Amino acid sequence: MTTLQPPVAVRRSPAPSPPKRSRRSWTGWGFIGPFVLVFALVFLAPIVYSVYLSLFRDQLIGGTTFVGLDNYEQALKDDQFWASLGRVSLFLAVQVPVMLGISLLIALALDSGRLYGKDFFRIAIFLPYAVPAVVATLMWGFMYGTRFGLVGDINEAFGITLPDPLSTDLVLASIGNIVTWEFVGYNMLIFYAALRVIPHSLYEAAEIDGAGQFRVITAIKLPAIRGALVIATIFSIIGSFQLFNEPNILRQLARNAITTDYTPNFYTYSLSFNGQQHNYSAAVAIIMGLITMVIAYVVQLRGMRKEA
Amino acid sequence: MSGTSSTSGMSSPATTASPPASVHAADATKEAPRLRTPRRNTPGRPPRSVLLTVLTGLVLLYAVVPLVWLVISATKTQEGLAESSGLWFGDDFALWDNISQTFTYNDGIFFRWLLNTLLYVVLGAAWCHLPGDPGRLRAGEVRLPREARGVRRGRRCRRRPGNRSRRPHLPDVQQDGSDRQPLGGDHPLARLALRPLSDVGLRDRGHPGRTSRGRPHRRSRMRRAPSSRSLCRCSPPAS
Repeated sequence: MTTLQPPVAVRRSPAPSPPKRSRRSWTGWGFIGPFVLVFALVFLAPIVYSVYLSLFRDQLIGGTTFVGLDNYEQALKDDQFWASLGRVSLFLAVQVPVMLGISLLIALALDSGRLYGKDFFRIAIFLPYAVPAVVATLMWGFMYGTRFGLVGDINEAFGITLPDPLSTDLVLASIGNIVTWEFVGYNMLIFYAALRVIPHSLYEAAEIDGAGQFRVITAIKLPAIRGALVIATIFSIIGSFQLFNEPNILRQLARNAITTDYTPNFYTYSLSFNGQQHNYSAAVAIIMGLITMVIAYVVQLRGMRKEA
Repeated sequence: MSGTSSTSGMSSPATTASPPASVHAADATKEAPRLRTPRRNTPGRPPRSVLLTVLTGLVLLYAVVPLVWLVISATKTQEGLAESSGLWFGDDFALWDNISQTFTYNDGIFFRWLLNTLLYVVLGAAWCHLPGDPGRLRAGEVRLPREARGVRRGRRCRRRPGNRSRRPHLPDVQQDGSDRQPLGGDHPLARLALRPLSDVGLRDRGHPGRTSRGRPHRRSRMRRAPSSRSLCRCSPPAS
């Protein structure tokens, strides 16, 4: 009580202490109120409705009845569902590392400043992202054609027979190629933006320390953009699990290779809009959403934990 | 800094032990030129590399060739598309025909589509931003109780041992290059240059309450030094 010195020190301190605000200020809620309202309306309400739907079953005899968790039980025993999940998991395990790897290499190349025509590279590699997914898939679908497409042209020109990209064995890889083509530039831009904000003084310091290019990449650049890497990975994981457009459109060209339960999303779509099994479809969708959430969360935790 | 660098996962014992005396001697001879010609390789203007350009060019081809195919295909008729090679123009040049077909298709429904797109873009952007932006403002300006707690937690005078490695620095570069540092570690210039190594305050790795305010990385340096901040915030009022 009697010591007066510490308060004086407080006033002199150069570090501006954040303005005092009531910890229970309601001003903040005034700002996020509109967002929370819209969020509840367009995000939470549909989820609640799906959960509600998933607890019922609509039968010819007996009408709509409450069945509890029966739909979930059925989904967990559903081979079609697990097969589709396996497909997107394989897709995730192969396509996402390849795509992010290419993106990262390009971003590092751009950032190194050793390219001729850097700006041209940046914009040209980003260009595919500007093509709508539907157009991109149609385009690649035409090019994949062995009779009329680019693959057919190559076969004709060189007198060889390339394997049909739309055959059952290869169609997943073909879809992976389409997705990679679309999103390499997008992820490259995320990484490049993260690389650009690294303070230049670090590179100068590294040079004084005698660090080579490779060392600068592993010791400065990669650690610095870890946040961007994690974000891009999470986006890609979600995108993989939500794979729908590409198989849905390619199905017009490869009816035998792509079934209506090719991906989980496709499966729920078919269940709901072709099979009229809204309730079961809702259960499958919710399980899929939970799986996606868990995996994305694990990736985030891991990505953030590595910093320690 | 030497104390913190030992805790980092990046430093490998092999590199710290490796520099033999010969390296030291070789560097001693290099010392003078290094001081004189640092501009040759400044990070801002490294030499261009043909090899790297060619390798990146492969990805460029991957990205652009399908688009070229798309543009070329747009100039062909249905028959030409099937007959001619995909990557070069056919005998027919039907681009204008195709475009006018697009516009006149179904009594010009294409314009209706364009209008729909415009509507979607404008309303979508408004719908997205009107409710969202105040929320973003809040995230930047107003502190909720949770964040306030987070800041209080950072009020410890001294960094806890576990906190050290959180700030990435360049331990291995510094460590295995410590013999050949052209400027002594205590040289003011070297200190100036080395200081940021411990200050790579990555925005996304700190506490959200702290990072969202966009604090410049200089601040973290202040916190590191047991000076200003500890004076102002850590003195317990009860004592």
